[in-house]
Amino acid sequence: MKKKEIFITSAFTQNSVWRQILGICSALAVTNLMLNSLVMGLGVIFTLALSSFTISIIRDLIPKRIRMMVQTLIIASYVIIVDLFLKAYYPEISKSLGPYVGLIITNCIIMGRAEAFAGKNAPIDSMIDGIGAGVGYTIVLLIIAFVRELFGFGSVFGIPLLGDWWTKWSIMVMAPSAFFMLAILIWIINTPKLKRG
Amino acid sequence: MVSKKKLFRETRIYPVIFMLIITIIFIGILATFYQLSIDKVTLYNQTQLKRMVLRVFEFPTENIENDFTKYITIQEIESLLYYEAKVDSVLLGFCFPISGSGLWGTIQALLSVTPDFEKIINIEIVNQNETPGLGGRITENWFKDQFKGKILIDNNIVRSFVLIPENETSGDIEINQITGATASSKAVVDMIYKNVKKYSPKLRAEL
Amino acid sequence: MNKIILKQKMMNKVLYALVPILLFSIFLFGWRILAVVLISNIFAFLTEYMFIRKKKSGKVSMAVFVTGSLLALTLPPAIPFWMAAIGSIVAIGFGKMVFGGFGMNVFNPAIVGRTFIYISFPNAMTMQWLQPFTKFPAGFAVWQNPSLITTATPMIEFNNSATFTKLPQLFLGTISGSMGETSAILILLAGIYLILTKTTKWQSMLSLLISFSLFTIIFYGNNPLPFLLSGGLMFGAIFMITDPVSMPKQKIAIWIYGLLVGFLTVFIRKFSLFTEGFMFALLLGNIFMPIIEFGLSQIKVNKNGK
Repeated sequence: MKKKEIFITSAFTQNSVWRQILGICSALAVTNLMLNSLVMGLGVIFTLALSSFTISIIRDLIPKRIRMMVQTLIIASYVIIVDLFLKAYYPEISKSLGPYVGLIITNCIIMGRAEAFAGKNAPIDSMIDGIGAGVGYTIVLLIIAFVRELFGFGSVFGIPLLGDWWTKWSIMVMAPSAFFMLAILIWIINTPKLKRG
Repeated sequence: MVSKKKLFRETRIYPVIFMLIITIIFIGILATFYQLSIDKVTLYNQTQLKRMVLRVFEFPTENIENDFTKYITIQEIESLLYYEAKVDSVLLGFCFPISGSGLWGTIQALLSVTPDFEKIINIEIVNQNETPGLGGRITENWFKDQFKGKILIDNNIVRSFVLIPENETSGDIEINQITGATASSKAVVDMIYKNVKKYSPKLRAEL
Repeated sequence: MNKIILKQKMMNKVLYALVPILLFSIFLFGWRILAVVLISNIFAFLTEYMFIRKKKSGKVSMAVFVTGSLLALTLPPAIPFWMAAIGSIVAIGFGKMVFGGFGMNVFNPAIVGRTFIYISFPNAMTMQWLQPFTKFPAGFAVWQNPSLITTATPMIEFNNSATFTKLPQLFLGTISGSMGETSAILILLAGIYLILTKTTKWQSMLSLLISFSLFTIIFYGNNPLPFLLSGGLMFGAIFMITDPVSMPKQKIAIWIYGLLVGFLTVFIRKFSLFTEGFMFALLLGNIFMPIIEFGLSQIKVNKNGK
């Protein structure tokens, strides 16, 4: 496969969130602000790219039976690096993301890419696949966060767009609304596909 | 050579050794990163706390490190940590952490009081999970400022503040509540009452 | 009209039962009440129609109007029209149609809609009430009762100062509150009508009321009567918990369901900062309903096996 194809496949046509319904836990948790979502997305892209790359390099050495353990170890290490980096340099964002950066470890997308792609393909390809999946994830996060921040705070990236007349929807700021938004998003994207059969 | 290697990879010891090596490598990497960032993280957390303590005593917060060591001493009584503020060895007041349950989670705050424990100097919200835009407004200055100078203990009786609507003028024992967030406003008032009732006898006895 | 609306006799009876309550509410608060009910119903209808129009033999069920009316009557009288519309859309869209339409919903749709706007717009839903009229022609002469008050339904008053409005007032319903929940006597009469016409099962009403009274005595140590009469409990007991779709089918399960919801209502009222607990209690009850039914059927199978 060409590099571009790999990227598009993992970012859009086989998007982890809306095609495979993976990694939705964090998509629900951090999407009340655009900024939080962007940082979270970048963290996931970083982790996905490097963990896929690393796993791909040592893919022939990993014993089959303990491969899950190895993958988790590698993923966890990169996640902790992201977490420490945020804590040290962007403490405010780290605080508002709360435990969810740490929980990237349990994000099924990363494990999924490691299992489905990095374990069988060359390092550079795996890295591109990882970035693609991360970008796809980030796009979903940003779309949900856009609606939630706009309805919940009347702003986008902290810039107020709607004036004082706007009645803020508190539910949009809270986690339950993410369920609604995610469901609607998946619904809208998958409907044409389902109709085609 | 090739066949020998393959044999080794099929032994039972191979996964163990592999896991051991890879764990050591990654822990090494992590330890390095941790060492590089830990100072910054702890520094940030300490500064954050110090800033809060200074703010709750209404000191300026431009020069946190200096001012904190100059004015504040940390005290402990029966495992309750509290802070003492002194300017030129004159006792300004105490500050102690309080917490109570809000609408969606625990609210944590710092409350500072005068040495005789009778008046509130200030209150700072440290942590809260109230509805943003509604209950979350308990962190806004106009709300917190209402507590400044309010009499807390009158004739040895801890006062409980009364909530009134947001735009009315408030009296001695009244606090303007946040419109649409009665529960969160009440939570702050209750939290002050309960904690003061609990800690004031201990602390006052100490003085 | 028959082409797009599926007639359901049972649902008609619920609507009839709501008419006196609606009239009384207009008496208390003015004609605006009727407008809210109409808007809520129109949007409920349109939402179901949008989902169903492309299906073969797709008809909008009569139940839509029950949901729309019930939702509207649980709202405060001063609610902005657009909020009622949103509540209606969420109630039908997310409370009912996404589960597969009439007969498939896990949750009571009206309560889903109400919860959504309750959490979204706490200001409009819990702070702005109208003082009721008491003398004829009262609300029949005006569009909206002008006396907006910021707090003080009997429930909120109790939460703040632990004193209750006088019982006769609570019973008659000349109190502030949500549009349809004020008059205990009218709601009770509606309940009797529904039971006599075999529209709803009395077991669910009774079990809820018993369990609610019991746990009120346990948790508050008080006479449960004012608790029963104030707030949305009575309205919920007659109209909400009796929703035939989200209710269990077996008799024992209905009793357990009613007891559970009653317990949760008191529990939430007592230990959380929310004033009203019935809404959340019913949703939680709905969640546990399938597992209760499953458990009971398992017990039955085991017994028969032996």
